[in-house]
Amino acid sequence: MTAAQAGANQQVLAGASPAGPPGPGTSGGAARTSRLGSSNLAFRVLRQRETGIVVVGVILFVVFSILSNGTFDSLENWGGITSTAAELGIVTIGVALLMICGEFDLSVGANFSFAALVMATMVQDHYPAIAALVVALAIGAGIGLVNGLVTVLLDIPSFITTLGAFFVWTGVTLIVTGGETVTILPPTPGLLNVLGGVLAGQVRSELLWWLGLALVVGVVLQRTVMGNWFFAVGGKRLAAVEAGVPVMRTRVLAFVICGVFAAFAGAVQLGHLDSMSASFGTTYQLEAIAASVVGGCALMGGRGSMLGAAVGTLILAMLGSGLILSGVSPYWYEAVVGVILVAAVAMHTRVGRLVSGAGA
Amino acid sequence: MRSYKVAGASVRARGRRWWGRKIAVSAVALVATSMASGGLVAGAAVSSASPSLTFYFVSHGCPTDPFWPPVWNGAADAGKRLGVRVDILHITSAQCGSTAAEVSLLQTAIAAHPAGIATTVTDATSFSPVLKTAAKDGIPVVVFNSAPTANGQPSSANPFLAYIGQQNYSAGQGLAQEAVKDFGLRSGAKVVVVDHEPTNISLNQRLQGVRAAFKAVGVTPTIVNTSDNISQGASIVGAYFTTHKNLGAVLTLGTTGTDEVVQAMSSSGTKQKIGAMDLDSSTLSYIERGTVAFTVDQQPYLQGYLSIVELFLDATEGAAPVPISTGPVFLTSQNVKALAKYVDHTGF
Repeated sequence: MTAAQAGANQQVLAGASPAGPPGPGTSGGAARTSRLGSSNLAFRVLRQRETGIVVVGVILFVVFSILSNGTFDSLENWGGITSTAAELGIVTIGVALLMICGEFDLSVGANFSFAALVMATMVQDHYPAIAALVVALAIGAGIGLVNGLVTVLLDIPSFITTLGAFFVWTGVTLIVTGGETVTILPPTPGLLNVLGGVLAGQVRSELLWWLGLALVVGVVLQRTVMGNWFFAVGGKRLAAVEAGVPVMRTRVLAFVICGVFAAFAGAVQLGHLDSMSASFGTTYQLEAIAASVVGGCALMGGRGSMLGAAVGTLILAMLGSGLILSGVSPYWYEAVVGVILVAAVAMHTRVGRLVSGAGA
Repeated sequence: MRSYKVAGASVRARGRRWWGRKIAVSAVALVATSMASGGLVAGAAVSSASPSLTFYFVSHGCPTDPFWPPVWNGAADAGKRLGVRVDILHITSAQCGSTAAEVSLLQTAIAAHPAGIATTVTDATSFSPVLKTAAKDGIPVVVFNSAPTANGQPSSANPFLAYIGQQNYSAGQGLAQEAVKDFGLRSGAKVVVVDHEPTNISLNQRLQGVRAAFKAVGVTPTIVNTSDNISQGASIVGAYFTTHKNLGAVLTLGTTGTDEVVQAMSSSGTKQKIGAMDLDSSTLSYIERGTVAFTVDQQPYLQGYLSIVELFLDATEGAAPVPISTGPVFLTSQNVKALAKYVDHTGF
């Protein structure tokens, strides 16, 4: 048995056995770094990956606050930032989970628009909003299931499968809607307000959905057997097979979860804007991957966390408004995102190498 | 209540009179301004002291769409001439088509509490919360280019001061009527309309206008949906041209669609009668060469320029912004030369 296999075994066992080493979350986290050093050392690596990006976020916050003469940290502005972050963040939860499994989903934007458009159309046609939401989530799950099955059973890279799915669902959306924007005029059903309505001031319920869901998925990842499976499948797939992890089912499940989150994000944005069109989701596939990577998800899988993904999302959302309020030309936004993306990966890789003494 | 310094005098700026404003206020402001400037022309006095004014100019314009630079140039030119700061905010190329991205820009702009905001409004509900917030905060907002309703009127759901732009529905009617006249279309004629942004409310309003005007003469147009990707759109339209002969007219709803149709015409080796919408450098050259018979111009430069002028006069003089129709203006090979100077300067 190779060292790597032993590592995967250890991690599966650590999570699987209730009588395992003290603190299943801690030891699970240790194994997740795929390093074979002591638990403590590896745990520090994990912590540092997130510490680094949190520090970057805090620095950005301080810089923007100073440059904007205080307008950046106004509650009004944070209403906007948290709204943007929540919609992107809910998509990013699924995308980050999938990246931890070593897979991509480029169809989340198309899924977002299609599911939310079906929901919007149903609400417009006076179906109960809850039924419309269930249908939307089912569509998200279905799209994810097809992505997963095609990827796993036909052994096609998920990059290709989901790129294809992106085109298919964008096309289907245009065929079904004829490209019209679907608008839900008042009185809007209460459920839409629960999803994306105003809580207080400019802050919307989207924020609570985002943070709540990120917390739940984070706990599942860190503290459960299934969480370990996601890391094992993405990190050392062969070892995971040998350790008895249901690799195929886990991968498909991750696609389904990712699909559901994309659809839910669409529903939440519908709750915010009361309108939806085929183009509303276009921005998300790349931004969600960027947010995940900034937050420390490894492109090849096996690493990442919900805390990191959430901080990565928040950094992207802060940049948009921070640059504007600091008086920087908005033309810089994309360039700055690019620099931060590469710098964040360099930082994550560097920290990994420093602590483990090997390639990250 | 905030106040803006204007040449030493202070013009009180709105606890906001969104509905019905008092001329007296602007008159007082004007008098105060000219008095404070020691009898100078009001405009000159204002420009010396107003760099403290900042206006935000927000749009859904895709940075890669050639339609938009004249709009942004117009806003920037107005800012320079009036001596005020105009921050032009637009979504990134990755966010093209995302309304949430534009709404987020608006939220940021409102947080900055500027002297005024000009924005596009691309649907009936998405902008409602931010427009209401701006109204509550007393930030003057004018809407340009795309309004929430076809007639460009504000409402309690979408409050703003004035719409500066083309009435898309009547522009669509104009496009169809001009085509009927120019190409001699009769009842039952085969007409194609290429829609390069099927999700855009403005284009949908134009399309409704086109349909209505054609209906009056018994023509039912076929709609071909393409995308902002010109080569992709050209191949869709090209395939249509090779399979459908004897088209009475081919109409477009914007410059991207026009590029697609012209490319499709050359790749399919067919000859079509083209009526276009909007104006950019390539559409201009098509008209000069006679490839395109005419275009319906909405004067995007004016939309940018006049939005800032209205916000400026509102902030400094208390003048109430009024709706301004910037189109439709019909451009053909006959009158295009007369407009060459304007076309050159506005930078498309």
